[in-house]
Amino acid sequence: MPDGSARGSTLVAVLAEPKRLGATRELLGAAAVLAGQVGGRVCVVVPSPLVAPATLGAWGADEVVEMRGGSLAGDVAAALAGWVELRVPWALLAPASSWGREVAARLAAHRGEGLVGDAVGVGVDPGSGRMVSWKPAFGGSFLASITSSSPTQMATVVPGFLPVLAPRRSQPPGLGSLQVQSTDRVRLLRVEHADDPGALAAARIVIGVGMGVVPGEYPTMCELAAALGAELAATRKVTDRGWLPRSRQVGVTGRSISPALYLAVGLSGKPNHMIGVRGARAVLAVNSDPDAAVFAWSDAGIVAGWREALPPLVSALVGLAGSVQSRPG
Amino acid sequence: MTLRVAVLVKSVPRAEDLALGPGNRLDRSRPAAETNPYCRRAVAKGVELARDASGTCVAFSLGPPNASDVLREAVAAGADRGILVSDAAFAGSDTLASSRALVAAIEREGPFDLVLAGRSSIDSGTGQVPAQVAELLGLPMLSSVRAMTIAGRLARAECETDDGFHESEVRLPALLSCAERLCAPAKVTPDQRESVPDGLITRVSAADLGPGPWGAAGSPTRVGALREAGSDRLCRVFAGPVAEQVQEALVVV
Repeated sequence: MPDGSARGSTLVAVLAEPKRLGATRELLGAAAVLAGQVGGRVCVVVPSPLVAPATLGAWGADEVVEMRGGSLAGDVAAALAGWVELRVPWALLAPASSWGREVAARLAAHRGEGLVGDAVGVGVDPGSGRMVSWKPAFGGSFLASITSSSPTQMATVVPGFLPVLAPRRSQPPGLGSLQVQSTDRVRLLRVEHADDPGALAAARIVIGVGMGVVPGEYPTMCELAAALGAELAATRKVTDRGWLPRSRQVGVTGRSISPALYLAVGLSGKPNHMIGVRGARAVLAVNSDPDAAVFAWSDAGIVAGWREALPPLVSALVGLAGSVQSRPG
Repeated sequence: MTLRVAVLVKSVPRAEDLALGPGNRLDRSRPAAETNPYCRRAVAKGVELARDASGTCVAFSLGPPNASDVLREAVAAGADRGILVSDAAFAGSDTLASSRALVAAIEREGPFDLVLAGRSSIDSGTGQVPAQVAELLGLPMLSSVRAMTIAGRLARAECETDDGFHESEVRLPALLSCAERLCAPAKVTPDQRESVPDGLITRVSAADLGPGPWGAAGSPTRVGALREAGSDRLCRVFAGPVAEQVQEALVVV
């Protein structure tokens, strides 16, 4: 019998982040699968308000605990520490976002729990009945399985890697609440949202840019993307420099995306980035170096500079889309 | 006022030299290591803040004996001294065991007004250690700091978030983790690094920090089996005139 299921109320907990419905849904789906495997129930701890409890139930939650009183990471971690002490979840999943990482890391340190950061998948080890988290290693060319020996097994999961499951028919989830004590240790003066984090996740065509596209070329790149109805994504180095917002970072420490077509432009093709587009239906790379690593991660490779190759490629794709749309029936 | 700054510095393998060690942990004994790029920002900012406030800047690193190189670099870049937290007993530390060892070393050398760290490391990359150190020290944290000022006992910073940034204020003592855009990285020549006197680097052992448990024994996570995460793409690469390549590529995708 899997470890923990003997307790009778094996709990798989999910931490939901304010405003992040997509990531919450992915985590709840994974939690429901885990709970099914260990004979447990899913409890989601949500900032209030997030979304109707019935929706969370359809996504996989058997119980909804609303947090009240604040959402600063340090304060939420302190409140969760008390909640975890009381409920002793078998596992706790959180989004690998800047907020989720801080809450999870603080909570794990406070409680002494094992935490796997930036997991791309979770499952149950059939032998031990423990949770296994899969995490990219060695630049993304391997996945390492990591387990925790602590009472609560924690993981942050990179958005976009977990499958989105169809809504299930479910009983309305049980409701509870959790009071967060606001300490005011961090005083928030101003919040700027520079980007819609959902736009990239929803795009059918994505142009991924690396250091081969310099800041002065972004207007051109944006025009090409607009012509295609595409969104821009980027490597870590690009978002580190602030040429595109952090929400555009694709890869192990960013997010995973699954567009119909990913155009890799001006990037070398490091596994840590390319692993983030494994769900793309097709990948087309443009690089002037015929030996560039990106071609090993692509379906088709055009050996040319992107300044030369991308405009005719975009025109051809636009023409193709037009002819598909005008086809009768 | 004076400002006592602690900077956490991680020695990371150069990307092309990543290799597995015993127990599927990263092999950190290989010589080709360098300072994690985000930690270079933490060193540069820590040195600058300490200098401006007539304060002190102490660099800490947990790692094998050759992690002393990144501390020498920090001292060559202006830090007053370096604390090397190194012992065979620390082998196999996960982020929690690493954070506990760093915290014990910081408490032994402290108190500090400000702890600076990189936003994450490029080898494991989770960014857990800064938050876990902050938690264990009981400090507030601002993460992925891209701009900051200190006035008296208040630190004000612009912090990168997933979809933009926020500007926040914390009262010291606090921990701030540094993003790439915070400042230019601290860099020194190999000669400058080698000229740092041995006496400015203090090695701290597990016994100096208490009973533990340290290392693998104090780590709640275990690394198990690895599987290859290769590409399953078609990998058709074309040549010739661009117009023809475009047509061929479109047929494939």
